Amino acid sequence: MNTLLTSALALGGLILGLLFIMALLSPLEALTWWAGWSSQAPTPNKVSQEALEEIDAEHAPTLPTAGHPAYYLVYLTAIGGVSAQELSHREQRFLQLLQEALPEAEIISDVFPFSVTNNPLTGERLFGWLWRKIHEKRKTLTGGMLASFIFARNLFNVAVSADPRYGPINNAGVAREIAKSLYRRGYPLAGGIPVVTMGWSGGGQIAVGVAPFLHLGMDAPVYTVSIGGVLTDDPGVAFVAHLWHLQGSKDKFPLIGDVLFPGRWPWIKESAWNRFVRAGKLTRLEPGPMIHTGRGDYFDFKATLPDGQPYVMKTVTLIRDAVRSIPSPGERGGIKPGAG
Amino acid sequence: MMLSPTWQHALLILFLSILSLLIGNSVVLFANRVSRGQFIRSLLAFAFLFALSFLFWMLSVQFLATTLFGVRKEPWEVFILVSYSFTPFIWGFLVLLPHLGPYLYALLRVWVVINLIQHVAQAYRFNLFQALVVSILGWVLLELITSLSFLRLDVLKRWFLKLTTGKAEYRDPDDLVFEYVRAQRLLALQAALKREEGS
Repeated sequence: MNTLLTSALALGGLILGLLFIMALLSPLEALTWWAGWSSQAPTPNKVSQEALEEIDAEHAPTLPTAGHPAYYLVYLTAIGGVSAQELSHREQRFLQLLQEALPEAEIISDVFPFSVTNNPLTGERLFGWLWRKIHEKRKTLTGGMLASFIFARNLFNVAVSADPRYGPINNAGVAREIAKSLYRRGYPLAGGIPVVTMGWSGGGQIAVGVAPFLHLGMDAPVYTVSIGGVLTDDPGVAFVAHLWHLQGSKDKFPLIGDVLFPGRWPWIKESAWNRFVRAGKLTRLEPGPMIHTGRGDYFDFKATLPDGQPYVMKTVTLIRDAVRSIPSPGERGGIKPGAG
Repeated sequence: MMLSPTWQHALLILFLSILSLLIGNSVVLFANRVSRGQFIRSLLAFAFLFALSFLFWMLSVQFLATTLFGVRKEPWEVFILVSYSFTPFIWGFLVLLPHLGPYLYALLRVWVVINLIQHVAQAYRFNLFQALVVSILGWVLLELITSLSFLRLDVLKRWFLKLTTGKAEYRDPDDLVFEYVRAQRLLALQAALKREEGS
């Protein structure tokens, strides 16, 4: 019995130790990228060359907006994700349904929000082999437990994004990847076409964090949709034109942001978040009794509301209505009425 | 010459504290895109500046205890007691932790001040009020001196950092990132316009 207890304690200690080291090292990817210590470093002195190379000649950005999609939606996955190329079937189905509901929009989902260089966890990185092994086995019981490390790794990355010391660097990196993806899809720079960043869970914080850089870097009006997003007190919210926050009545995860981040506390009146809320730029939407993730979450197509509507369709409908309330480039000045 | 164990401990604590704090606060170096070589040189330069403020705190404890309460200790005794007070800073690397780091840093600083008050009270046989005055006045003085603009200490600090690390200045991550994004935007706009004219 004692041996069992000792082993359990040792294992617990080992796991805690590993998590602690992961947390401590979590800012390094963004910092070393920014400092130019990694192979994919930004080159500030050669930006002109870099910018020219990164803009695909075939889809050169042009100023006129005619013929372009009415909105560009950028989907950022949750902390369980390992790569933008390997979204879960449920997420893929959700995006497909959303595209059908919003044929006038271009939906982008090829940016992994937890890497400054859009490098998947399973990609070319020091512990890529380990993440690949964990990801391959995550459907098994042991693998499922090990997959908690994926959640933890990405959760720490959300904390990096929300930290005022690391956040600007991390979020500028992710915004740069989003900008590259937008360019590839022909986003017309300075054309005023709305960019809607859409994040699920931890992706919600990244969706807000990248807003200043997309806004300033691309002259884009940025709107955000948070799907059960863990929203922090990121000052980047000041650059979001409007934020729709979907939260199921059984989803308690977003409360983490309410509690852990002082800028979210209602008595810190002058925080960026509270100013944003006072300005009427936040719309809270309750889609139904959704939970955060798993069966009965926002993307579930089997669970239905009392009116028979599948959860995923409710989510799609709410987002469609929110996005369609965004004024077109010619009619700025506030969202159209009726969005939630 | 062999140092006594007390001295060895004090020096080790001071060395580890400085090293740990520097690692914890190294984000400014990354943000300023220093090379690996500059990183090491910057750490050494910051360590020197940190040692100066340690020296100031030590001298202020000595000065205040002597002038206000007429108790004098040998400088090496004060060095040891201030070094020992710095023990919590050995955890300074924890400042790197996202989100929690700044709160932990505040906690460590309070812990160091409490430690100092305790060590001063013990070493000088002061009551709590006397220990508080001697420990905290020195810290207040240091804060005042470093924030008085007419003393131009910031200029001196910048000159020293430039001399030792080759960096003209150290700036906030926010400034640097926004500058980068604006530059990218301008160039991307130019590229777009150029293509527009060409087509």
